[in-house]
Amino acid sequence: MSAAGRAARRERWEACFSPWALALAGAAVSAAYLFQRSLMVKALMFLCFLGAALLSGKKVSLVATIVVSAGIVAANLLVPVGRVIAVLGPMRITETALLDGVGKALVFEGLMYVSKASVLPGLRLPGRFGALVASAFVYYDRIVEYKGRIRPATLIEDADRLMLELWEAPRAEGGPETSRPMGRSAKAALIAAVALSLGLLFV
Amino acid sequence: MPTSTPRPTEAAARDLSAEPRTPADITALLGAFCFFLSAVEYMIPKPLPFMRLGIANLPILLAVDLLPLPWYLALALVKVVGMSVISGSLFSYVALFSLAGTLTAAIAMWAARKVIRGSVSAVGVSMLGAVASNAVQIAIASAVVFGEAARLIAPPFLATGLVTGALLGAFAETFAAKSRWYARARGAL
Repeated sequence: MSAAGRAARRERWEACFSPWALALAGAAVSAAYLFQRSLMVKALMFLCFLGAALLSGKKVSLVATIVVSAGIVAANLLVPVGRVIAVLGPMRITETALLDGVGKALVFEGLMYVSKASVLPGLRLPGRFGALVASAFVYYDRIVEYKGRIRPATLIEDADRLMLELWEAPRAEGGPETSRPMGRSAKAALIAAVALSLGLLFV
Repeated sequence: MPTSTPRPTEAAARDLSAEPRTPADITALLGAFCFFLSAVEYMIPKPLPFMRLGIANLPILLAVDLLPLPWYLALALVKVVGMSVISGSLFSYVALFSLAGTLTAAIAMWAARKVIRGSVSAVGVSMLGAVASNAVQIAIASAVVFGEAARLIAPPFLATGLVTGALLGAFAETFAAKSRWYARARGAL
C-alpha cells in the first residue's frame, strides 16, 4: 500500500467525520467490544475494526499484529487450563488456555484498531486540561519545525538550545477545534456502528 | 509515529510573550518535549516489542524539581493523553498501560525526591520510577493480557527498567546541571 494512497484515505476519512462524534462512537464501540463474550463475534468485529483502520489511512502493520497476538496466545498457553488438544514438544496445548489467549489477543489488537480509526488528530479535549494538551501540541509543532540540529555528540547543548528557543518564542495557546459538519451518511454510519456493537452483546 | 499533528497550530497561537511564564506554560512545553521524545523512541530499533528506553519520561524526571505537584501530575496526564492521541491508541490497552505506568512512575519519583528529601540522586529517582512503572505494567499485563505467564517476563522487564532508569537519571542530572533553560525555568517559578 503506497504512502500516497494512505494519505489520500486519511484525508477522506478526516473530512467525513467530526473528531468528537467519531471519538464518542469509538469509545462506545470499544466498550461494547470489551464486554463481548462470543469469540466468533469478537473475531468478526476485529475484522471490521481492521477494515476501518485501513480506511482511515492510519498505519496498520499486520506483521506486528500477528507477532503480538502470537505472543499473547503463547503466554496464555504456558499455563495449561482445560482439555489437552495437542502436544508440541514439551508444551501441552489446552483448549481453555488457547481460547482465552485468542480472545485476549483479539481484544488487545481490536481495541488498537478501533482506536486508530476513531481518534482523529484534530480531537480537542474540553476544559482547562484540554487547553493544556492543545498548548502542548502547539509547542510540539514548533519542535518538529525546529531548524537547528540535534546531534548525539552535543545532545545536551543542542537540546538546551532548542528549549531556550521555545522558551523565548511567543507563548503557545491552542485554538478551538475546527468544527466539521458531518454528512448524513457519516452520521448514519457512526450510529449504525454503535447500535450494532451494542446489539451484538445480546447475541 | 506522528505522521500528522493535531489541529491547534502555530496560527492559532496567540502572542503572549510579554506575560510571565506560568506553571501551565512550562507544563505544556515539557508535555511537547515528551511527545517529541516519544517519536524519537519510536524510531529506535528494539530487540523486543515491550522493551522501551523510556526516554519520553525525561521531561517528567526534570519536572520533579520544577513544577508544583498538581502541575507535575497534569504533565504526566498530558503526556499520556497527547501520546495516545498522536498514536491513535486512546481507547486501547496501550493507553491503559501508559496511564498506569506513567502515573505510578511520576508519583514514585515525586515521593522519592520530596519525602526522602536530598537523599536520593536523579539516578536513584529515575531507577525507582522505571521499576515502579514496569511493576505496575506487569501487574496489568497479568490481569488483562498474559495471565500468570506475566511473571516470566517480569525479570527481564524489571532489569531493563533498572538499566534504562539509571541511564536516563544520569542524563537528567547532567542536563539539569548544564542547561541554561532549566536554570531560567527554575528561576521563573
